[in-house]
Amino acid sequence: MITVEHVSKQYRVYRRHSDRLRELLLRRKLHDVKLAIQEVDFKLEDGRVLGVIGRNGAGKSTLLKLVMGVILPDQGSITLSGRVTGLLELGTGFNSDLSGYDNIAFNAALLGMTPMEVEKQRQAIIDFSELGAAIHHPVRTYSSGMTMRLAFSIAIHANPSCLVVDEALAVGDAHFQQKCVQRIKDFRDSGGAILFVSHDMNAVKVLCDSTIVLEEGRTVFSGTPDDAVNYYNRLIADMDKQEMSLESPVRSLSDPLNEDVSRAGYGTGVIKFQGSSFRGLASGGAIVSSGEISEFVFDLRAQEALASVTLGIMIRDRLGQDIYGTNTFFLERPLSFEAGEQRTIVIRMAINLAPGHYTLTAALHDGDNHLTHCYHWCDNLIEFEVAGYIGPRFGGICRLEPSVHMVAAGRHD
Amino acid sequence: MNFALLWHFVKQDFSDRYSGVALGRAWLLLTPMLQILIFIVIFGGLIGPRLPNTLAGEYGYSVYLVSGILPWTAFASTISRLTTVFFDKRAILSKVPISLTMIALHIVLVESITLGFTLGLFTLLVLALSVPVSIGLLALPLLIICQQLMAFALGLVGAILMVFLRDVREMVGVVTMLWFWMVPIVYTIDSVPQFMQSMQAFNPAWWFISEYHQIFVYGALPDMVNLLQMFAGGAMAVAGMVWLLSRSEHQIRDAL
Repeated sequence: MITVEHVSKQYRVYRRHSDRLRELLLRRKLHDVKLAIQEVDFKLEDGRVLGVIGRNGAGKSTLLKLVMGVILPDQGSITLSGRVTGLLELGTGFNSDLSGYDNIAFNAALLGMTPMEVEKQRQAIIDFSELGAAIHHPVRTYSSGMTMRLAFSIAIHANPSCLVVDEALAVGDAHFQQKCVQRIKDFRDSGGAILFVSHDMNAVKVLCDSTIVLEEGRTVFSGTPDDAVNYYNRLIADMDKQEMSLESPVRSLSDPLNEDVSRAGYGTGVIKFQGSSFRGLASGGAIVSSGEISEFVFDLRAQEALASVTLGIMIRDRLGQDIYGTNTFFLERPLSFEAGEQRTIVIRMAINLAPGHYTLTAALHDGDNHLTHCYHWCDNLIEFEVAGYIGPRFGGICRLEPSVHMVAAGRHD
Repeated sequence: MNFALLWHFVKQDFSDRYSGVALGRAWLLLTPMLQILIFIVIFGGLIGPRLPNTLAGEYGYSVYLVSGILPWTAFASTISRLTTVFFDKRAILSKVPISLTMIALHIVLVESITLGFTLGLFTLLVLALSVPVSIGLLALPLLIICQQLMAFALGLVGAILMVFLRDVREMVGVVTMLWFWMVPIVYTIDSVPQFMQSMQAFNPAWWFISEYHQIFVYGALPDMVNLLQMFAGGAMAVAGMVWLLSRSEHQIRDAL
């Protein structure tokens, strides 16, 4: 159990290191105060997972360090029952010239294991790490994945009562990652408390029981993971809006090298995208749950009168694979514009996609394809993320909608 | 205090120094042995002055020199390593909650063990030269503890100041170098002016170096009153510095 009560932490930021001494001697304030954590309050019960999300610099790392006890709070108190092990220190203190086997004892002792516990767990640690004969080779010959496997294995066998998990799980191959996630779940189920800090919104929704959102060192939201992720998205969206007003009217997040070209897109420009947005109707942000009804909104402006305009979209996954595309021609909703007319087109659909990052490319053209007259083409106009599920979970990249029926043997025809 | 972890840090320090080296721990033996031999050969046989009333006769000055240099080296190295210990171990300290006192203590232990070991080696070499040794040798462990308690306290002063001023590292280097020449290690106490002789009463390094001289050079028993004074003073100084360390723990951890 972790109890954090009214904890605040501030750092003194000195412009020069010598200012510390001068301040001491001159008794004059020569530092700026950075409030890293302000009045943070939470309670993490055994067997529960608390997620902590927030933007970069919101105070997540400081909070973790406070809970780990490597820095001390200015105000408030942190109470821990039992041993806290952080997965953020994976591999700290490994001596690269010694073998993995020889490193186990020291690393385990760092995490608070007694020599007897180490002896008892040594074989389990070696087995879980799947290092095989490499356990007797020097650690410097290990790949980063192997180092991480050994470190994780030691950390999880240290038998802590609280586990602090940073983004550490991003290392290692898929097989080992799954093994780690399973092991973390087992740990939770056996009554361990987990503090989970991540930018992976899907992992937060899947793993956590409750989640807090940090912003400028304060807890700005505390509640279910779904609500917290939505809140977080709105935070980011607000920030994006501020940035957007400085940008050109058509927004794009594609290749920064070709920023100007891609942001503006290409085409004859007779009709153009003036703006675009995406939001889930339930979440209100650009991170939606799989299956959530969502809207793509396009603001268009035509310079000339056009009798037949087609708006096309293509959703691509993070690898650039086409996932789904359609256009108003296929959907039999032809568009026509007067000269100078502005109009907003909303395309609404259930995002039946697997969790992950996606982009949407949009184009305005004539007829059913863009080959004859392309008015405006914008790659990666919208970026969005799918995290978590509404309805049953599934594997693969898209949701089909199966149903299961039971009939007597041989009666189905 | 987690003694198992403390011992791990001590072992780690030795293995860090010699891991990946072909001769490995043999260097732990070779380096001081060669060093001692060089002193004995050069100052005993070639250019050494003759000291009166020593056990060692022609090797008198060599024994005088080595029996002062070995404890001084441990003393100075303890202080300078303690001064930077929190910064040297920041990779661990910023990720795992470990007591600052323990991290500091492991340096003291490593240097004390090294000193005990080299003094043992030195004794063997002295015996090999058929120089007699005295019963005063039995007081060596206590003497080592006394000098290292003082080094511990002084090193913690450096370690705490280091947080406010990085220059302390360089300053400690300069101060220990100066200090070395202010202690009768290379020269004898009666070869310097009267005022410098009387100043030695206030020189903590002389408090213990003089006892090493008594034991190795003159075959005398150390002054037990002096030893007890050093022990009590050192222990009190360490207690005071550990308290100060806990008071400044907040700032130290922030600065890492």
